[in-house]
Amino acid sequence: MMKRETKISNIQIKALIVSSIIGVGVLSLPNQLANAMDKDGWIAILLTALLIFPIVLVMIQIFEDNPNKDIFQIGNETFGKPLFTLCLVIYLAYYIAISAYIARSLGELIKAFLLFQTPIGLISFIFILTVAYAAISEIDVIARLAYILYPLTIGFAIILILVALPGSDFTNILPMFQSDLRQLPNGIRNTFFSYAGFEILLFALPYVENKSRKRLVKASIYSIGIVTVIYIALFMLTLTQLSVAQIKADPYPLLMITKLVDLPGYFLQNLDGVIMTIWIMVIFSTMLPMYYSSGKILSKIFNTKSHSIFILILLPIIFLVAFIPDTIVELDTIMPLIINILGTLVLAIIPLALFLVGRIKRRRGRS
Amino acid sequence: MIEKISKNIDANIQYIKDILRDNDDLVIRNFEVGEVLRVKMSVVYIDGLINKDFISQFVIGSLMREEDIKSFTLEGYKTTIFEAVQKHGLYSSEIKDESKWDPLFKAMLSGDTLLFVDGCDKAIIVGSRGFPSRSIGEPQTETVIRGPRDGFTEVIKFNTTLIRRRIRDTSLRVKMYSVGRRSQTDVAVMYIEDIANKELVEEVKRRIEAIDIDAIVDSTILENLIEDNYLSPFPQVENTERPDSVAAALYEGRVAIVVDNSPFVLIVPATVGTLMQSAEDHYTRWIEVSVTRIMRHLGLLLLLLSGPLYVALTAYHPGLLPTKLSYFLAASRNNVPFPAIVEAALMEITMELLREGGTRISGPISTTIGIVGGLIIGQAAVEAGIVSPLMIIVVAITTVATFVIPSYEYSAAFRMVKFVLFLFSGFFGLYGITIGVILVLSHLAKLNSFGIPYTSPYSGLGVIEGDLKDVLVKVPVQKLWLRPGFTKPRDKQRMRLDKYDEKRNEDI
Repeated sequence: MMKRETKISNIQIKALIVSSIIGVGVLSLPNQLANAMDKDGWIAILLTALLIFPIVLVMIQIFEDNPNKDIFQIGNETFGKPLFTLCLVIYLAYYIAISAYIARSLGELIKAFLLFQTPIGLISFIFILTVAYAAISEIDVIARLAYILYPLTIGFAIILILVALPGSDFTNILPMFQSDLRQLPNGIRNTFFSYAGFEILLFALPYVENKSRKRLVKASIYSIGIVTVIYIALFMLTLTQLSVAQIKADPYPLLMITKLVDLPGYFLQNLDGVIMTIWIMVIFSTMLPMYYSSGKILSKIFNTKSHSIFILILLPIIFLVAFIPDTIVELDTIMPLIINILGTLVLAIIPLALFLVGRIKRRRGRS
Repeated sequence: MIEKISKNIDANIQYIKDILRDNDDLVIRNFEVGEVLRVKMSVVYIDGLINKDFISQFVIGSLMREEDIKSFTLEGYKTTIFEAVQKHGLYSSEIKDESKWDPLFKAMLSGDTLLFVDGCDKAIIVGSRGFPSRSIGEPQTETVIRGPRDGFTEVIKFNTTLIRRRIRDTSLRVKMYSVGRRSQTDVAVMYIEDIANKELVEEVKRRIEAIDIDAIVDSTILENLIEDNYLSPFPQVENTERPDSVAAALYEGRVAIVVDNSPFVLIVPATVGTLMQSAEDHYTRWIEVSVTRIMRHLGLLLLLLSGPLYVALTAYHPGLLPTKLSYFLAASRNNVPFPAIVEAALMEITMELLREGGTRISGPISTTIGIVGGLIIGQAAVEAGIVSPLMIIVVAITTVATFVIPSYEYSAAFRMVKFVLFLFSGFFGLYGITIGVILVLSHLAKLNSFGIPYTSPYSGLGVIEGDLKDVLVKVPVQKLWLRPGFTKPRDKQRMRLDKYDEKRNEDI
């Protein structure tokens, strides 16, 4: 058989970023924002987007500095093998934690909304299995899937807005700028992880077909812009439908909205079936790059050619981690905490360190 | 085995008789030519494969008539008898000399005639193929309302000709292979060199050359042998009975593979976009094509999802339906003693039986099967209370939907997937269907057709070139000025609009 080139096109990388970012957090985002900043949550989203952007630029720059190398080669050269392996383990832990969190919350939500008698473990296990099937393939297939599914991610937001629009009360958005600006860091801390997922760039960038800096920067502005617009639109939508007190009380305000609205035409009683279906696909496309990346990381650590065996090994691990917390309350308190700590390292500190150390080493090498 | 032919004609004829012993359709005609030398010659062919009149008139006849040969003496001539025969003695247009037995036998068994001349270590192959064949008729599987009516036949030469007649381009290539150790089937790889991607063409040739099998009975077998993933239910090679479809594909930079004895020509690469296109789409106005294309895709969704959704909604989520509809559903299933999944399985199995029965038995009986099966069994099943009327409607819609997909193999693949979705929906309801759909999408995304992503253009390749303008809808020809991008053509531009606009504006 022909040796296939694993390449990602520039339009696929946009889709990959968008679908990696928008995922499990989107349903609970309005709740977190309202808790932190009341009606001014959108300011936090906007500021976070501005904060994320330099990190993305740094990631692009890392590969600009080291052309034709993947992240594993770059890391080993800048940090040395032992230290970088430690970094990889942190990435792995982060991915396992976030995958487990996704699988568990999916199980809980499906049980609450669709399958009332099926055990959660079975629901989650099947989902992990499905992601595993897709993750046993190279990055180009992941990018294709992301491109196929990303209209759904955007469609998910558009459908939500369209069905809710007739019953919206826009005066609810006002008054703006009422909240305490000292709450802003807290709000940003909450939204920062709604942007988690863009670190897929570290694993995907070496495979991009056209590596011109301008195009990559454009693609990332575009994708992070889309995510920001969707987040703000959904937050505003929640405000028009529910009171701030309601949003603060309900962990999944968006699902509440879908229960409230009736479709004209009287075909479906409530939309949560449709929305859940799309949402499953949306979080599938979020978990897939993470699962794939963790498989790749393990295959690099153990120096094997294919990562498929590690995808299978990871399956029970993710499943077990997902069921460490006993209840959904525990899940929603412990997991985000772990993910936050690991995420700060993974999303910001390690890429920045990689960039700075690389630069310093280069300067020394020159002089 | 002797490798080369000998100078002694009798030894040669004896050898042929030995190799092809017990073949009574082997014809050997011995004669002597020349008034002076009386050279012994033999014409050998297989009865039925050749055009007898042609051989009598233009080979044997010409040798006996030609003055040069008649009065041939070795003195005064600078050539040998063999060259004289080759240059002056034969009236036929297609001759070739050959000294090895293998090609000689192959030529004879494909319908050529061998001419042996005594004292020469070479024989002449005279092209004389004239076997019985079906004439060019209307394609059986792909009928169109408007458009050409000629279809491929079983003879490879007719088929390549039908294609060539549509492409009068010097860079059209017809590369012949013979595949199959025993069947020695002719296979032609056709492409337009200026358009088709070089790597694609090389890959097709490489895969065909790699085949080592005893026989290629039909193009389907070749298709299975050169596919990227032979385990997948989805066809990764397109096939068609229509020369116009092949010509259109070649102009898009794709590669056609014509196999002897098969009226179905293979086209690669195939994608989920091209498999939903029908020949009719080239000949109908764009707005109608767009509507039909959308209907086809809707048909695909119905085929795949209507049955599983019925099972999921009745068994797991009656609450998702409006209250009235949900009561109606419950009432119609009131007498049904089975769970929805069993009910669906019963009807689907019945439907598959009817389909198979109707296909195998042709003519008037198949109509009977349709009536007995479709009407009587359906009606009786509802009245007996085994299935609900809604289930019958669902099964009927599903069956009709399988026929709107232009490619039979493609729709069959989705039919198989549907059964899996039934199981998923039976166990996990709507969640199961979603998981099933994700699995199918993942599988499709993993597939390649000759290195081209099977899901193009939905998965990104070709989007920049505007492939999406000719998938779910079709825009007017004027807007399709680039060739499809998924084939990575060498020559991207199909039409130059500036000239076209200039000409049009002149008239006004």
